[in-house]
Amino acid sequence: MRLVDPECAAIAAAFSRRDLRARLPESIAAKDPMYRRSGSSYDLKSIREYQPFDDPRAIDWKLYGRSDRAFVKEFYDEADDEVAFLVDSSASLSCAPVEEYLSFVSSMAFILLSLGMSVRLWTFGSRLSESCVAARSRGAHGSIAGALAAMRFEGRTACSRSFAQWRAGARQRRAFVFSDFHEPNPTFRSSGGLFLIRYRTPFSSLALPGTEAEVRDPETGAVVVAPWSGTDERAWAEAEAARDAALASIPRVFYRRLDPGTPRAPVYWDALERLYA
Amino acid sequence: MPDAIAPVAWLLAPVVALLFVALRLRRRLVYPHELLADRSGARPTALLLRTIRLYYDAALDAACAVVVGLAIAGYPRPAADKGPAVVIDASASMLAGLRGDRPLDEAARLALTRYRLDEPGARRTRLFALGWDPARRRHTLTDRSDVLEAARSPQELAAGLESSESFMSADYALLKGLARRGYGEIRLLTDDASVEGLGVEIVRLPAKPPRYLLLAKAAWDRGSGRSVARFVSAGGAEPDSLWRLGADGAATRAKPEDFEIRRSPSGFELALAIPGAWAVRWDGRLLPFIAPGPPEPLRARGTMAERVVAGLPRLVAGNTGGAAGARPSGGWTGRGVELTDRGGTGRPGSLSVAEARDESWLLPPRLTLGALVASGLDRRADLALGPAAFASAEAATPFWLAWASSAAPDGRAAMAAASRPMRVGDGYLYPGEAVVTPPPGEYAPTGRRVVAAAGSPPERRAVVALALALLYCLKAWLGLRRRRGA
Repeated sequence: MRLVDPECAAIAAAFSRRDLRARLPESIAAKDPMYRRSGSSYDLKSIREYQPFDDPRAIDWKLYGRSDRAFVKEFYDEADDEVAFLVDSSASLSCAPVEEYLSFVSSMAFILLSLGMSVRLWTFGSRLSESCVAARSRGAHGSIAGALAAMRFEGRTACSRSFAQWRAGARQRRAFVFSDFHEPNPTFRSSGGLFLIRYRTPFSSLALPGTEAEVRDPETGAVVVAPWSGTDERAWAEAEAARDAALASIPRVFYRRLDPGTPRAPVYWDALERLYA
Repeated sequence: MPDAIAPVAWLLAPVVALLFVALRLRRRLVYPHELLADRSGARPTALLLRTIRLYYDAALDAACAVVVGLAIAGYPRPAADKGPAVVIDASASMLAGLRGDRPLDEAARLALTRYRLDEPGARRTRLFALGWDPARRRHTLTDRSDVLEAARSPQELAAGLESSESFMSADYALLKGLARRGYGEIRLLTDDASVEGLGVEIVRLPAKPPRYLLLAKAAWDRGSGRSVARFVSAGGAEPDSLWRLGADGAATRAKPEDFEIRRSPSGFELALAIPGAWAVRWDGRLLPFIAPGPPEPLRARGTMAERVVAGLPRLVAGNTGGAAGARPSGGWTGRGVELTDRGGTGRPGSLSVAEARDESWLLPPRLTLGALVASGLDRRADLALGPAAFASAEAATPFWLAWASSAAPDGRAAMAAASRPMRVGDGYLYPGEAVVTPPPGEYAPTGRRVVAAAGSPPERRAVVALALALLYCLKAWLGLRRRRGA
């Protein structure tokens, strides 16, 4: 299974050549201490004598006791530029072209790692996985690819609940959610930096027009007889369009739907544009 | 309807089998129900509609099978939906008797009082007259409901019918047309005791005892040189006067020297010096008749025919006695008989002869595949004469009969010329001196049995055909729509 699209390296190289000084990722800037801003992290930057403009609360009172002089400690600012990947592993994804789906996730991770960002990947079905896989450099992409290759599709889709679980304890400010969003009324609350990628197979590519099919739900095991006449196809297309419109209308959310076989390079590029916007 | 179950079931069996196969062969897929569950249709009606929508072809086939099965079982049943019909026999016998006491008067009274439905909601009774059209010389069944609606009394109804109908004769077979047109309850008001109804209610009117004067025979008498008309009479009917009819139908009293009257055991005999149209009056009624003139002499065409005519010198000579100057000035179309050699069998005005001596005894073997088959006589000749026929003195009989009968006026010629028939007494006089009078059965019972059958109501096959056409049009339209990917 090829887990990284061949054009990903070129996309990452092309995107890194752009003038990104004004919006360099903080992680890139953090490699040179000169660019690192002071902040509230636990990473010590310097210790200097107290100046009148300093906040008296920043005085290190232990040093004052030992030296009888007032010193303040400066710390670096928070420099977490990690991107969260929430990958749907519910049983319904088995209906989609799994290889394309995993390849897309892996390629996206590869591009972000190539651009110097770190990626932390969770899987979710009916709930968010307790463990996650992290990669901080392009060389660590193998851990992401391995986690994807080992993924098993089972359980029901609960992307809203899983996202809420992740959001409650996450430190990352940006997240990619890869799913088919096959759940009633999926809801996402985002303050920005949320990317929803929908991967699904159209039912019209499976059912023959003018027939009916016994459709088994991979998550519940229930079987319904689904007619597939012109009327049904139109109704299904309307429901799909409504689902797409609902997801795309969530404020501050980047949403794309991917059908099997559609070109993915524009999606990578659009996502990067949005990521660095 | 239970009788339709079997044919419908037989016809539905292949449709059900096809539907079963289609259901068994439907695809099985794995796909999330989230966007499909809304249309699964838990209600039976939704399931039915969905099935019909998907398997419309089988559904239409099933509908066609039901329609054809019902048609085989006789559905839709023939239905009479036009209400009752009263038919009045408008034949000559209905006018027998004094005015007010005729069968027609009684029929008018019954039609107006007993069988006329005026209740609100009841279907209106239609009145028909079973009569005869003198212009087209054919029996008719005419709707005279307008006369019934306009009549306020039986007398007015009878008078209206008298003015609109010819009262010559009736053909009861025409009643079948009424049932075919959807009339269910059919009543026939007639004085004919020999009529029996089959699906028709016969209302017999009181008939009068037979009293008539009828023409039994009219022929040219060679001996006296006069046209002789023999009449039979019953019930004491006697001729009052004799009238000569002109070409325009005008009647003039016959002069005493123009005729002789002789009594006969069954009636009387009139010997008329002038052939043509005459009328005899009896009991105030006028009976027209044609007195035939002398026939033309025999003519011959062909060797054999000429020999025959030469052997019948008196006929060839046209010994017509004193009739040479008795021919009427106009309109007399009598013609002779022409003898021909072979051919023309059954042709009016022609008698073909053949000599049997010339006939071969056996058919040609090439026609019989070698079998010996007697050839018989020449079928193309009216008379095949052999040696025995020539030796017999009676051989002249058929020629004489043909010649004598040619004296009668040609009815077909008169019919062709008929454009404006004139009512003369009981009959009609047509241009060309043809006379049509009521048949003898209108004056006296003939003893024959007549069945007036109502026939069968319309079978409504058009409904079945229309239903099938609609179903197949729908099927074609849906198939076209599906092919276009709608």
